[in-house]
This record gives sequence, structure tokens and C-alpha cells, in this order.
Amino acid sequence: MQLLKADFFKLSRSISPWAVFILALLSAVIFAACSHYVATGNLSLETASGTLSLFSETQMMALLGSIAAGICLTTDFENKIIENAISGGHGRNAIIINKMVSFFILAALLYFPYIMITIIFAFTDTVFTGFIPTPTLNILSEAAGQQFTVGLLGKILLTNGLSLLIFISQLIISIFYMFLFKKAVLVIAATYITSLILGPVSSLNETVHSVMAYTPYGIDLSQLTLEMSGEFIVESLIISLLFILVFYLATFFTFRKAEVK
Amino acid sequence: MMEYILEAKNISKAYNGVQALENVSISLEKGKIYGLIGQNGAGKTTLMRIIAGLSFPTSGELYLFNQPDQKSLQAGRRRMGSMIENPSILGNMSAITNLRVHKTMKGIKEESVEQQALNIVGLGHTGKKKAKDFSLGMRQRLGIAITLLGNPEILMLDEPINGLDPSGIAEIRQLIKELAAKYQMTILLSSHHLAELHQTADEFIIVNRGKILKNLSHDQLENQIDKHLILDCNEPEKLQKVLREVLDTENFIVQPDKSIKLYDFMDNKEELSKALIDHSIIVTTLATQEETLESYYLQLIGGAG
Repeated sequence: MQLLKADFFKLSRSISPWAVFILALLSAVIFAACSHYVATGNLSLETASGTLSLFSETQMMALLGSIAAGICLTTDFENKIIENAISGGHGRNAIIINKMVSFFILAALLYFPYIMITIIFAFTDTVFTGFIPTPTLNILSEAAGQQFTVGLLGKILLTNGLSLLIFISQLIISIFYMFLFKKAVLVIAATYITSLILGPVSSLNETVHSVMAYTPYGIDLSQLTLEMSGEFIVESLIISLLFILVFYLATFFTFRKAEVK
Repeated sequence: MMEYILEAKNISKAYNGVQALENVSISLEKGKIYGLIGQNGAGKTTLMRIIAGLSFPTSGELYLFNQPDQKSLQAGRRRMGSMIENPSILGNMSAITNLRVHKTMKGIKEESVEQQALNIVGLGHTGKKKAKDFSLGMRQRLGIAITLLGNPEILMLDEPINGLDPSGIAEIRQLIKELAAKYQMTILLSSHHLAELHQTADEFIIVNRGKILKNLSHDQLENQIDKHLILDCNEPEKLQKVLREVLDTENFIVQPDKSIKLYDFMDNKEELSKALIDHSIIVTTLATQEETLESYYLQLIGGAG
């Protein structure tokens, strides 16, 4: 708890977490605006699903999540905060868990603007279209114009919550990279490249797909809708949580007896 | 039986086939200042890193507050402050904010401890100035202030006076002495400034090529380094034989030029002269010489080499 408090005290005094949050906020607004303008015919589908799809939560979480893991958390190795935590009597396992929790909170902060947009616009008359199948656009296009009900709000929160968990599990590899490389630049590059490569790789062929289906990279995000099945929810939850557990263990065994410099 | 606050027993460490430490044993008593002396790569920092838990020994045991197991070592490290190589400083924050981060990490609740620590190291007036704009000396002082948080019982400082100007060095020396005397802190210091270490430490641990060459108290060191006789003669081998067999002493060092530094018979030169004359040794030099810690150290590692 002391480490977590120190982490958040430190992050609250740094520019980097706020900078990535503002970028996430701008991206969420641009992405929602694109969806609206495509729906009203003011923006072509080709333009939106091309360059502007970079502002989708799937792209932004991969990019900003990697940056946050690198700049906000891995720099602790470079400025010797981790070294001081160990020499100050904190266990290595506690340090890993602290970094994981800090990362979960940072990832939630980055996804928060997309969640807020779905909640704000779901109960207005604004029209949206799902020009690419992402959870945010699925929610916006399905819920926009519907009457407010607690059930609908619950479904929106559930879809957003599961999406966030899947994104976190996809990015959990950054924690492993953090304790392996101990350099922010390497963590950012390796995490982003992993996210970029493993998504498309999972659809290469049947064999790869069947293996990747057991990882968060193989979860079909287009199924993250307000009407997703219970089976999909449970399956996604199990895969994501197991993946987080596997990478926690991999990180623990990597860092347990590692030299800290 | 003597109680030690920190003990390392037969610590060895090998990295990629290189033996960084070999059967190193040290025992630190409460309230004393220990000077760890050694060249770059001698193993000083490796030993400190093992004590701090940043590295693991290949073999050997470490005891902190008489406890050897991992959990107790972790608990023991909460009672330690250490600054190894460079201080842990966040450049975009002021000195006081840096201390607040470390205070939170250590779970210290007391108010104003950060200001007290800054005052102790002479950084009380740095205000909002960011640490990245600090001089090297100021960064070292801030590093020391961080180690002082939580009133540690053991302080481990690797090259703490690096980058300090002469007045800064004197202040840090005074501070280290005060901490040991006033708070009974045990302090393990490493430094390349041997003259400085000579003025600060109570005990000296001389390390070379991963091995402990000598453990000496300040008094023992004074006896060793302050004065000795320098002897030169026509038959150096015979001289060594006479010293060993007739005068019954091993307390001498043969220098590369075959002259001898003799640390005994300082107050009994007559007996020495008589023995040499009796054995027909023609002495060309017999003089009293004073040494520095540096020359003693160089002598020692030269002999070890």
C-alpha cells in the first residue's frame, strides 16, 4: 500500500500521466465525432475507417497503454525508485503487484474517456454508426436513442468493464517487459509491437487462430456488444484473468532473483 | 560474545564467470563508522548491493540484526538507509517533493521529517528548485537526506562525497560522525578519497579483487601507516632472514626495489642496528618515514597482486 501511495503521489506530480490522459480524451472525442459524422453522411466511411480508425480505443489503448507503462512506470527503474524500494525492505513480489495495480489504474484512466462518451451519448438522440467493430462504437450505435433504463446502463457498464479487462490483459505483457528490460523505451516499443503483431497474427490461419483464441489477442472484440452472450462474457473473463495470472507468474520468476541496477 | 548489527559470512559472488567476491566476511558493530576501501572493480559496490538486497550472493550468508532468513532480511532493510552508486532522485521534482515520495514509500507518518532531513544535509533553502537543476554535490546531499528518512540504524553510503567541494566534504564528514555518535548509527562508507575516509572511519575494510585483504581499526591503521622504518642494504635477502629469524618479526613489507618497510622496532632502533651489524649487514639507509593511507593501501594491494 505504501508503494502504491508513493506511486500515485509521484504520478500526480508528473506531467506524463496527464498528457496521456488528455491524448486519450481527445482521441475518444474525435472517434465519437467520426462515428456521428459518418452516421449523418458528413464524413465518408472510407476516410473514417482508414486513417481516423487510429483514434479507436483498440488502437489508442495499445499505443497509450504502452507509453503509460513505459514513461509512467518503467522509469522507476531508471531513476532508482525500484532499487530504493528493495533496499528499503519491500519484497520483490510486493513491487510487482504494486506495478500491476498501478498499471490497471492507469489503463482504466486511459479508457475512462471512451466509457464516459458511451454513457453520455447512449441516452441522447445523437446518431452514431459502428463504422469499425469496436466496443465503444458498438455501444454507441446500439444504445443511442434508447430510453434510459438501469438495465441498459448496467449493460453499458458491463460491456465497458469487460472491454477494459481485455485491453488490460492484452497490455499486461508490458509489466513482464518492464521487469525484463528495465528501460522505458524498450518497454514502449516491445509492448506496442506485440499488440500490433499479435492481433493480425491470430487471424493468419486456423492453427494459429485456434492457439491465439486462448489469449486476449484472439478475443473477437466485435462481439463486445450490449447483447453479447453469457458464454462470451465468461470465456473472455477466464481467458483475460488467466492471461494476467500467467504474466504475473512469468514476471515474478523473472524478477525474483534478478540483479537490480 | 560480541553482537554484530550486520554480518556477512563467506559471501561469494560470480557474474558471467567473473569472481566479483570471494569468501568475504565482515562484521559491523553498532555505532561505528566503517570505511570500505578498494579500487574500481574491487567488489565494494557488489558487497553493498548484496547487503541492500539488489543482488544475491552465489554462496555465503548475510545476517541483519542477527537474522539470516529472507523475511527477516527484508524487515532488517527497513531499518537501513542506503545510497549505492547514484542517488534515487526524480529530476522533475523539488528536493522536498523527492523526500515526500520516499517518505510515503517508507510509510513514515511524521510531519516535517523531510524538512529536517534537508536541513541536516544543508539543502533546507532549495525551495521549489527542481532536482534536475541541482549540482552534483547537491544531488549527493539529497541522496543522503533520502537515506536519513526514518532514522535508520544502519547507513550504507557508496561514494557519498563524490562531486562535493572541500567545504561540502567537511560538512558531510561532520554529519557522518555526528550520526554515528549521536544516534548510534552504524555507517558503512566506501570512497576513493582515502585521506577523507581516514579522517572519518573508525574501522577499515580493505578489499582487492573480490577478497578482503585486511580489517583494521583506526588505531591499528595509525600504527601501520603513521611511521615505519625504511631499510636498505647490500644483502636484502639476508636482511629479511635476520628480521624473521633473529628479530622474530613478520611485520615488514619488501618493496619492489628490495628496500624494506619495517613496522616494528620504531622505539628500539639500537637492537635492530646491533642485530644487523652482528650479521654483517651493511645498511645503506635506515630512516623513519611517514605514510598516508593511500600509500599504505597501494602498498597492500601491490603486495597482494
